[in-house]
Amino acid sequence: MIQTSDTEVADTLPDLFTTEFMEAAQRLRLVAKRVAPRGRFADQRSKTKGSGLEFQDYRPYTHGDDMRAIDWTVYQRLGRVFVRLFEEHEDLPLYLVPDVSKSLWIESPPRVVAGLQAALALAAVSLGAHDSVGVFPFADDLSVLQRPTSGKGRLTSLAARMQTIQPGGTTDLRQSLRRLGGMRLREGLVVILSDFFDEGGLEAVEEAVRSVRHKVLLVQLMRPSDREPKALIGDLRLVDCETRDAQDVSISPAVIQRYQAAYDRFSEGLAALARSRQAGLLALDVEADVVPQIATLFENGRREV
Amino acid sequence: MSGNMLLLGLLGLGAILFVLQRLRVRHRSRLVVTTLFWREALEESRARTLFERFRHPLTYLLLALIGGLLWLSVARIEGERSDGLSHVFLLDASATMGVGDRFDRAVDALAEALEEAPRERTEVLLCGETVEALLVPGEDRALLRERLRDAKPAGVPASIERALVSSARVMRREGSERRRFVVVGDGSVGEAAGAMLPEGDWVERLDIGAEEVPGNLGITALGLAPAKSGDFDALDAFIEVRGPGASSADVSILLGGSPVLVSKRRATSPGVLQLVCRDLRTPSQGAGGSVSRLTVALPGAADDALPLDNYAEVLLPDLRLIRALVVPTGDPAVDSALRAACMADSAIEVVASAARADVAVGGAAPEQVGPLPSLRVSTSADQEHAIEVFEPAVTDADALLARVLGELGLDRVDGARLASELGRPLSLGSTSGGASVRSVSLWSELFDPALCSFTESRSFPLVVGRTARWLAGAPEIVPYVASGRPRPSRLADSSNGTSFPWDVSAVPTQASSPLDVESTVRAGALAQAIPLDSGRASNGGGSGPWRLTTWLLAIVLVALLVEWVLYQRGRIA
Repeated sequence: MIQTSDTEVADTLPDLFTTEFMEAAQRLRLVAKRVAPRGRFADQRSKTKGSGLEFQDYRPYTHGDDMRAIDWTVYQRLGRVFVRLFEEHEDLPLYLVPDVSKSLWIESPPRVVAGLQAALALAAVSLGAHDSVGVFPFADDLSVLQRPTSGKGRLTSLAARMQTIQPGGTTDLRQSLRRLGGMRLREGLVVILSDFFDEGGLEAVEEAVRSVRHKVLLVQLMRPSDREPKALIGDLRLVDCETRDAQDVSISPAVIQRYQAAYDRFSEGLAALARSRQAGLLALDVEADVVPQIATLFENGRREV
Repeated sequence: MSGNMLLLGLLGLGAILFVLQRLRVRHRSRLVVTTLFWREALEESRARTLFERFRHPLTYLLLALIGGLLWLSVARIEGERSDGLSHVFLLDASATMGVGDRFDRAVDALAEALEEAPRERTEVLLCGETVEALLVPGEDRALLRERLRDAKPAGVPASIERALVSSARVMRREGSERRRFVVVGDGSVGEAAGAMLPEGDWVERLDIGAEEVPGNLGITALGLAPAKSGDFDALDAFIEVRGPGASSADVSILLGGSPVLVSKRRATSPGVLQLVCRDLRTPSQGAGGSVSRLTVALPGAADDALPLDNYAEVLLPDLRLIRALVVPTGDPAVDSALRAACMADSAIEVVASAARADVAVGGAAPEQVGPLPSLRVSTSADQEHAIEVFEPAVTDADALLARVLGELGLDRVDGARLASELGRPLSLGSTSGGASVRSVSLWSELFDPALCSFTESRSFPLVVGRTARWLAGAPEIVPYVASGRPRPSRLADSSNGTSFPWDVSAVPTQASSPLDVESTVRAGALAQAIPLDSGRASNGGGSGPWRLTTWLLAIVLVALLVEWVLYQRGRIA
């Protein structure tokens, strides 16, 4: 685990994967209710009726249908040709969008560690289910670390790539997600792992998330001191690590109360956004183990999105 | 510190803290992940001004409390006396204070009395062998114990009266305040001394109790004198012992560790024993060696109440033969008179070789032997004063003349008669110059039998002999020290009082009579007294304001602790 002082910006990442971490992640399974058509054959149930094993419906035969799908028993009874439809299994593209802005690199341990570990855990699950995974780190803009790819063997290279991530600048969620939308990726699941401390406030986060046409899972990287900054005492000049904005604050119980109220409003707004988008929201404590917290997403080993 | 000063200090402290409280806070810079929520939390946007509105009144009160307590602990609360008195405490450290723990009790009583006196106008003097200032006005009382750590009664008569007179004299010059003198100890203050005090001053005595000193036997006098035999290198010693059974007392007298034969033992009364030891010589005398120590002890009085006067000692001076070179002056009468005077003194050897001479007498010494201390003869035309004295590295000419008057025997000269014979005034003066040795120059007219009778007077050989001794640096013989009299430091002193008030006058004052042992109980006239019992307990710590200060500082400590806790919890800025 990286050890930095509270105000020091870390510039390297520790080993994100361990054997225990991988084994724990393998027990998770990400399951989509339905995925978009035209995907690869995989474990996810598709809207497409295809050549799976599980019977789903009949429909009249049309030109070009596979003759093998014709149900001759129905033909004998009704004198009309119907084909049997089976459920098509396709993949669920997973788009991991980890925040690597500067705010995630200060404090100890830095939030970026938990964020990337969570991303890797989710990637491990998806790759294990033959889903494709893409990684798009962002700060003031989106970058492509890994285009959507699949196969369990990709996990190691993905981890190696994540290990090379460097600290970014300010957080601009709108610009970053706009860039993601411009990539015209096949509809999938977008997992945004961030502290969501955008300079534009909650409004910027809402605007950015609503613009995403994929399914969304929000992972809020937080720590207890975000709401209760006990280490801040006395007369302080608080400097924003990203924008360098300075606020002179004389810490008093009243100020702390107002701060907590503001933080609570932000958290509730984020939860309301997730509800309105029918997205998941996980508040991930960056000071605790990541896998157990990720596991809460997968009740009974499954998670439907 | 007075109440007004204390109040002013507190008000000043409060004002300073108030101004500091209003100064714009200098914030400690701290990097955070975001300032989004702090912006909303800030109660106001502060302008960048020098002063802020008064905030944190609780913090101010806590700081004012801490500062005020510290101020009180430093200032000490003093009882304000509106009478404008100065207080002079005279702590007696004379021999009688060595009885039992009398000195310790006096110190305790003094410390207690000081609590009532304003520090800014209180002075404490230690009156022992010399008078020392223990506390000057404004000094902390806590220093008293520290400065008295090594103080002990000395084997000397009480110097309270002398200190009182000198102190009153000095203070009279310094200001017009009325003074209250407080005697702490046994030293008496006679009516004559009381009468010398300025109007409005008075003397009090601090009661420290009294002890009976029954059956004390002690040495009351010890002295040396030139040997009656006339030998220049020998001394006679005089010892007096007083007390019950003194006539049969066992007296141990040692010179350089060897017993000394008592030449004369006389009991003038059952309580007074006088001893004389004659022709004492140190083994090295005459060879320029070291001096020896003459010690007197009363072995049989070891258990009496005052051990201080059971032992006395004195150092025998190194009496060397002085070799004088008589240099012709060109006037046979002068040369003859000087040579005769030198040869009449057994301590002076007239030598023909300048290389062996210690001093030159008459004319100028030959240059090849280097500068010699000299007694020169000069004409009145060449010399302003009849007698001129020079001593190198002396800047105070008056002090030099006052000192050498007796040492040169000039006080024995009938100056009025000589002036009358010469028809002109005689004066004593000093010269300055770059010479490296002492010199004395006299008018040649003084040696002319046709003009005056100086060479025929009894003082002439005395002046020549004393001058030769002074020129050669021969030690003085302090002839006599005794209880009831100040210890002389010189043969004679023409001044009745010097500019330094605590200087011990060599001339007995009128107030003290020789051998007045009853006025001072027993006091050994000692060159070096044996130490008193070293088991005296030191109270340490102190009382009154010292304890108050401790409490104040303890409260300050608690207040600082409270402030730290509140600060840590973010309750105060």
